Amino acid sequence: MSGFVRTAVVTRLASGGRAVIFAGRALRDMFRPPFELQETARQIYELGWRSLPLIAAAGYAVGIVMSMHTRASLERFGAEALVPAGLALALVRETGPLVCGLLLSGRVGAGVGAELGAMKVTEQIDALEAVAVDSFKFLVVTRVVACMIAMPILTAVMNFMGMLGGWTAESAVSGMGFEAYFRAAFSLLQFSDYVPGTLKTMVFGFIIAVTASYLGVHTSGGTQGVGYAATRSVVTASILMIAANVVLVRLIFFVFPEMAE
Amino acid sequence: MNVSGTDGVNVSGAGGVNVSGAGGVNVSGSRDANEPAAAIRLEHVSKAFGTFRVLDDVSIGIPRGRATVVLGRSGTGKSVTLRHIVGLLQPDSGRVFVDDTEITALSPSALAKVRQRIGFLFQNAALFDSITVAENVAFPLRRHSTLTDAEIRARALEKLAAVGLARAAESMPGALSGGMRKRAGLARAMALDPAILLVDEPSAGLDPVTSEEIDDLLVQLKRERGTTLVVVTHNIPSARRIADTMLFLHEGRVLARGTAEDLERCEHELVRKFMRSEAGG
Amino acid sequence: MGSPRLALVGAFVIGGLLLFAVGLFLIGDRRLLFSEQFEIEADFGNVAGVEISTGVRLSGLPAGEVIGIEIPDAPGGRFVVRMRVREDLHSLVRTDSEAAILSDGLLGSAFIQLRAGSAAAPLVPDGGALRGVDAVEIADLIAEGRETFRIAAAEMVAMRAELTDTFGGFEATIETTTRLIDDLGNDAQRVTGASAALIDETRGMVAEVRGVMDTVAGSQDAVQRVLNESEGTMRAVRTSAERVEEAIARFTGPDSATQRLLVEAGEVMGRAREAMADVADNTEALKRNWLFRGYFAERGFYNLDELTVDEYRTLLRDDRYTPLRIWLAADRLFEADPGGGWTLRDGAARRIEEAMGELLQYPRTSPIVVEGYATAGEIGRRLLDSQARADLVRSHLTQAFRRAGATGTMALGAGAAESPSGDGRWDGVALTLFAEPEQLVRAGAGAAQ
Repeated sequence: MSGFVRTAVVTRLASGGRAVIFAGRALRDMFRPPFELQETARQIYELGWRSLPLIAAAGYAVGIVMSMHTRASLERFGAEALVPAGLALALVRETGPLVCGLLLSGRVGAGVGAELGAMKVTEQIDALEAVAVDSFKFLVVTRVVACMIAMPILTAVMNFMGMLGGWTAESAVSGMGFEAYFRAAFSLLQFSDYVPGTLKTMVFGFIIAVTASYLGVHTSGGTQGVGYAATRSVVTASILMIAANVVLVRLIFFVFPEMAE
Repeated sequence: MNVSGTDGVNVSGAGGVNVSGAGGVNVSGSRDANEPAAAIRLEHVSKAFGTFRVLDDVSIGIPRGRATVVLGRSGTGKSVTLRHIVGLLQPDSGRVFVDDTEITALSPSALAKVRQRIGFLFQNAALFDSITVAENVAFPLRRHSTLTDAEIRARALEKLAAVGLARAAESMPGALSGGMRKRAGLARAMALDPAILLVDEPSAGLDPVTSEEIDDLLVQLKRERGTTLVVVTHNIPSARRIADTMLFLHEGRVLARGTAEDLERCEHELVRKFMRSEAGG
Repeated sequence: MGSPRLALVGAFVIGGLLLFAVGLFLIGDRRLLFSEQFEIEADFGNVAGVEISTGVRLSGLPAGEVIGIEIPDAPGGRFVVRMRVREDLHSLVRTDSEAAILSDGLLGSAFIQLRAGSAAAPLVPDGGALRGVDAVEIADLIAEGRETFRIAAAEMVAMRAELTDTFGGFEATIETTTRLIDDLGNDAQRVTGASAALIDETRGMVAEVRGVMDTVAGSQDAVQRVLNESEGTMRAVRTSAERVEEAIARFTGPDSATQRLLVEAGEVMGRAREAMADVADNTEALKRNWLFRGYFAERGFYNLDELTVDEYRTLLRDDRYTPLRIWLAADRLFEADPGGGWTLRDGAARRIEEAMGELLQYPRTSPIVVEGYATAGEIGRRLLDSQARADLVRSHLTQAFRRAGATGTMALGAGAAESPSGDGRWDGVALTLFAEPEQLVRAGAGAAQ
């Protein structure tokens, strides 16, 4: 191995190690007072509430499109009756959490990465420290907690809007009633589909916020560095989230074996 | 790196004009930096970024209630020195004292207590750009005082009025000019009425008139409140207006210290040349 | 951070939690976690498609779920499926109730259908066992039926040959007889052909999925009925063959006895044909039962029994099928019986048949729904009355027109937006035929009678 490659590998490993330590610190500081409640609430507003229109619109559109596709394939077998249940199952188990996570990693990853990056290069993070504020708690932990709270909520919204979209598509085709649709949609759902599927998004939220924060507070190189941090946040957070999803799904199957059937 | 055996303070590596108390060029009143009057002391502080040595065994005493200006060419560790004082940077070796408390050995919470006694005006003011100017000034008060919301608000406006920014209280930082930002930053740094004020490049990027206004504000602060000032600059006119004492840093070491007159007569050509420049280096 | 924003954050978090909780509740509610239940079990030779939490229905109504499957100790043993069922349905689950594994449509998930028992049988205790009916048995039943038809058809051919031989010498009568026999034979052929197709169809379905039938009771009874009818036909055919043989034995020459014999043979054949027609009708009814299902499934509803009043009203407004309605007023059809129920009064049967006459010009596959209406009393009373009235008319239609499969009922209470009374209410029944627009050869069938 050449010296250059060795250096590159060591640098990567060291950077990965620092990120893991960063994540560990976020996890630890989450439970240590003082809690920056007001700032956390502000971040829930910024990251959660303000993502609602995006998530709701996307969920609705995804619901309509998925319903049309599901219908097209099930129609061939005369199983239109399963369209609502099939859509709900797909949404609640995987599509809702994953699409919601990807959307949020786009919005929040870029936002947080750029915001913290800009704060870093304009010395605002130092300024926080200088007025005796724990900048890690104030900036990172609040965003991580806000993301972990917002993700399951946004996922629930996405699932609901998806089913609403499914109903819109279904009622246009078959005139099916609202109540009948939701009854049919929930007919095959189990707690083991719904609860882990929704709660695993807390892990997504953690990954998104920690990745974006890490890249943000380690920004260097002025405004160009800020843009770079934002882009890298989105890409890295999305990849890590998808990878974590694979692990989580295996884990959930391990804990709830009936889901794997 | 050389370390003096007995007197932990008064040593410089290069043997410049820098020994206090031993004749030559003196810190005001010939007091030893070990005396309680020294608000801030750096002892044998070294700091390197990668292989680049920014501070090389620097020992400095900053007298209380006076204005100390740190001079030097760009990249000679002036800002790094300032950051060490407030604990934003940790020395690779050596110790930093603020009011005789060794901050290099403090827990984060104890360090936070010390920081509340220090104001820091950053080079670009570093205002929090997501909140208004008034909220920026109020921020340290909200964090560290027991005042009510109304009292905090009144105090913030008072601080802004003192720097002539009362009318810009509800503006967002992004809407301010460089000079206004700096004044707002000064108001924030003063919010908790700190005993020590660290100022990084007060005149950078400002026109001479605005720069003079800022300098006047700093001098006024020192005079009225007895605030200990540490000002980093390479603007000589500004330094002359503010300084009681000057320090000249070069290549990580203290090359000269004393009054403006002392530095003008310094044996080092670089220092004398620096002092002659009016526009600043 | 201002307080309006703080309120939004609160709304966001609380709203999200509520949305999540609603989901939990919907799942829990379906699984009946919030109501009283009792446990029963049933045994099956094959539990394909059944797993924990598979749904249990009682006469089509969601009633509970599977909570456990016990595996037999040895090969050939039967699986015991344990189920949790709503306590409020306990009174319908009797010791003669049966359970069967069915599925929703071709790709539908499996569910367990319970058949309500008879009133005479005692209640099944908590933890008690029911008889499980395997899907295979229904297929066997149909296969058996096919065999019966084959024999019947063979018998026809044999009889025809015999008769032709017997009457071979009498030119004048041969033609009549052959036509007679041909008619009978054609009938048999038609029945056999239809039922063979039906059986093939059913078999295919049964092989692919576990049972397509609507209800255990419905489908099994229907098949059983077909079999009984065809057995009857066979008996009739045999009897007629025996009588013909008897007559032949006494045959002495072309005299009056021959004429008598031919008349007698004609009568016998006529009866046999009638019996065969019954079989055909019932077979058609069974088929149409599925067609009927398909009709509703196409609009997203899968069983008329599961259709709510609101959903039915929506269906009436669907522009792809035009409902043709004939309104019949209660005072000319029903009289209250002493028991608090309703009976058909004198002349009612004629009125119903007249009304049906209007609808009979449309294809027999068009479903007819008997809508019941009642205006007296509070809402529960009205619904019960309207159901009772619809049931009465339907049972008459079933007897008179043999439309068992394609006729359903719907209790609608008082509200009837399109009724001829003009006040949006109706007291009585309406016969509603669902036809496609191109079938509407004649307008104005909706006039009140």
